[in-house]
Amino acid sequence: MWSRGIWLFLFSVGAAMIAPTFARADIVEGECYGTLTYYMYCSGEGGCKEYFPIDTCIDGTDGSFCNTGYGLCCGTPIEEDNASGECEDARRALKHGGRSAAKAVDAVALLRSPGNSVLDLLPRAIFVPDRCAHSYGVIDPGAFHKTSGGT
Amino acid sequence: MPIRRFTRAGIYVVVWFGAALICRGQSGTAPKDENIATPKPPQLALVDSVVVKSEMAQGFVDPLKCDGDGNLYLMSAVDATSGIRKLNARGERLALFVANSASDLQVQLATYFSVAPNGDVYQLAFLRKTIDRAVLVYSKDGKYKRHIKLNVNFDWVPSEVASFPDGDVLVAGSKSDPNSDVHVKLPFTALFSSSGTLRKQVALEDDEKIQDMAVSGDSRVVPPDHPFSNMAVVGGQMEAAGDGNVYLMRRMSPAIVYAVSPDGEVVKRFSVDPGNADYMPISMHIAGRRIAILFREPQTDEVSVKIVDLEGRELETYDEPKVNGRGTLGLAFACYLTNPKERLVFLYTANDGYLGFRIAEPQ
Repeated sequence: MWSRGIWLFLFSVGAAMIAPTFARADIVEGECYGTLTYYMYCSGEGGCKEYFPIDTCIDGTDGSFCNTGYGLCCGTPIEEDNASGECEDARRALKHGGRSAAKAVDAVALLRSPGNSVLDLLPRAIFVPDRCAHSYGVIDPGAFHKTSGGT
Repeated sequence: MPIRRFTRAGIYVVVWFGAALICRGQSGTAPKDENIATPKPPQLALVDSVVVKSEMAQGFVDPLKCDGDGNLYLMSAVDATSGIRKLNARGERLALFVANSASDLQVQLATYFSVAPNGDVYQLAFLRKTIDRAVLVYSKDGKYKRHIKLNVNFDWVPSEVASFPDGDVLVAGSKSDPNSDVHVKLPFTALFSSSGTLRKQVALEDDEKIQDMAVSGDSRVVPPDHPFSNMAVVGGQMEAAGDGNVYLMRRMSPAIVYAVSPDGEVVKRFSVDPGNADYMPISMHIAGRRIAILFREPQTDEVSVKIVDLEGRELETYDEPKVNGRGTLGLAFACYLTNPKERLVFLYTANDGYLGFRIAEPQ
């Protein structure tokens, strides 16, 4: 009886020490904890109008290492702040023991910016649908044109 | 006696012929008078266009909302600093609802929002360093009032929120399927108290069907280029109506609409059929006892607005007016008003990136 009490005590102490470790394991710095999809409306010259979904990552920390939200919305490049790589949800990320984070990219610019050529930018160019032109556009992780407005 | 019987029969014949003639006239089976035109159903006409040179807008994040006074609420990004802009019908900014004004939270993303009848704004928030989800509550002048931490014991992604008069909130979202090795998101809708306690999970009739579609990889719900989301849920809409219920729309074709009472009961369910399964609902607005749902054909971007009452009875269908084959209103349907007259407001990006309003009325 006495020895069972000791074992119970030791088990309780051990559980109490391990529990916070498990709790921290819920959030791994730099990992993506789910995909958030939202819809965007755009309009532009020539009667361009668009409505399409953008994926972004819900991150346990600062959102720096996951994402996907690239696109051209009536010619305007759309990107989620500080995003790169592919988005996984928490369950899968945890199952895989965490995913090595891609280097953070903090900007997107149109490839057609003066001075740029396709060859210069190929290693990092991203092809995205340009629905207005019924083709694909190329954007370059370079300088981010934020979509938010307001003065 | 035979004469009397004959007379009675004659009366019957005369009455029958008379009734037949009257019915013939009313039922329209009589030869048509070509000079009498059949009244056309009302069509939308663009009646005004406003460029707001004090506001820039390169794009608009769903949802777009308005209140009973015709004030518009729009956001252009989901980060914590951009905020929701509240503008009056002339485009003058009345308030800005910014998520990072919630100094008691670290907000990473601020997404879907709804405007309560008293003007308070409820917005979903995703927090840093935690998998907790919250609802931010702002007063109508843009001041942050408080937050509601949504207490559930699993990871989930809320997509829509609206409030009841008592401060409780209805939240619809999705969660991962624990029994699946693939990224299947299952619908989850619940009523939370104003302090964030899960009061009740709300069972919606079509969720099993939506779940089956997700599990089977149906591209209407899980498109190949967005494999981690359930589009029937994330593309939904939610809004409180004057009858005290919150109306939730699923992005299906036909659109499915549920009315949920303040105690979390589904009191109505109806569908709104665009008449063509290719047309998908993308926005919903409620004004008085009317609901306006905008449907879009994704290949052609043609749109049609269905007006139904709060019971789902179809009242009108408006097609987008066109000039030279091009639609004149756009997709960003921001506001539906019925008082003092029926009016629909659309947003667009004007030259030089300024915000523009297009106002249409049925005529």
